[in-house]
Amino acid sequence: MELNKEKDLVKRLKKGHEEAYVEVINLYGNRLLKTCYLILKDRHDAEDVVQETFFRLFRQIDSFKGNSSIYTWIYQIALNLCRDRLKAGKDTALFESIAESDEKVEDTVIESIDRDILRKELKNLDDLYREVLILFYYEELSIKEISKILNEKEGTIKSRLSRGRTLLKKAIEKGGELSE
Amino acid sequence: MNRDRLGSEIKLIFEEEAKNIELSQELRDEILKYRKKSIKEKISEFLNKEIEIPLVPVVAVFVLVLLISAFPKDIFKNEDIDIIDIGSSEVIVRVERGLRDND
Repeated sequence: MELNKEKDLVKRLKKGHEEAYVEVINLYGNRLLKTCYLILKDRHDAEDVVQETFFRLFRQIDSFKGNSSIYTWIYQIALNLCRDRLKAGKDTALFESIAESDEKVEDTVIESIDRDILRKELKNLDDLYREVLILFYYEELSIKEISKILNEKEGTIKSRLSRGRTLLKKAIEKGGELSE
Repeated sequence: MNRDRLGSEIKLIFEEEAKNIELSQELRDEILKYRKKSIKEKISEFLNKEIEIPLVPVVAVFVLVLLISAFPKDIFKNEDIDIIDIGSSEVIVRVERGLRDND
């Protein structure tokens, strides 16, 4: 979204213009719901997160300084809520094995990708990696944008992306079993 | 890392998974309920607000006011005033009630 258009939208949101609220929901609502659904794998949870995200946005709109784009802000809120939900649903904490990144496997070109296997492995992939893959491939965000949204260093995002891909490639090569 | 074949496949799968996910009108309406209101709307809402009037105390106060206003103001005054016009002058005669009664 153009910077001037966004500034105007924020201004109208702050003034409480109804059409600005409809506009922001039309612009980001659907896409956000889809992303939350992909992360949470549950429609009901995703809807709750989207609803809560917009509530928070509306409540805090007066404090929005415009240091980042409204899109980044919405996604920051939503992804934090998603993470909270995922954490609440898990007994064990997530851990990252960045050091294990297998460059050899990463470099391997997979000739034929069995989509069913990939689909299954994507579902089983650790949330930490799945989240980055969704933002990078589905949302088509840059590493910089993802790092801003997730409040992590760009290097961390790159590592997670690489690790996620490696895990998927390994699983595909093995014929559909994730090593982790 | 880049958007290669594996990346395209991942994207396709995600798109397929999220294909039927749409924001329902119901959810949109629910979200919009919590939007910030404009000053105009706030005023209009305030003016159209239903106000509950507690009938008993209001009636009691009303009756009290009515009684006070109907009560003769000089009931506790202990004197009567007579004004006598003499030419261009006025003579005010104050007579204490007790005295008049004894006349």
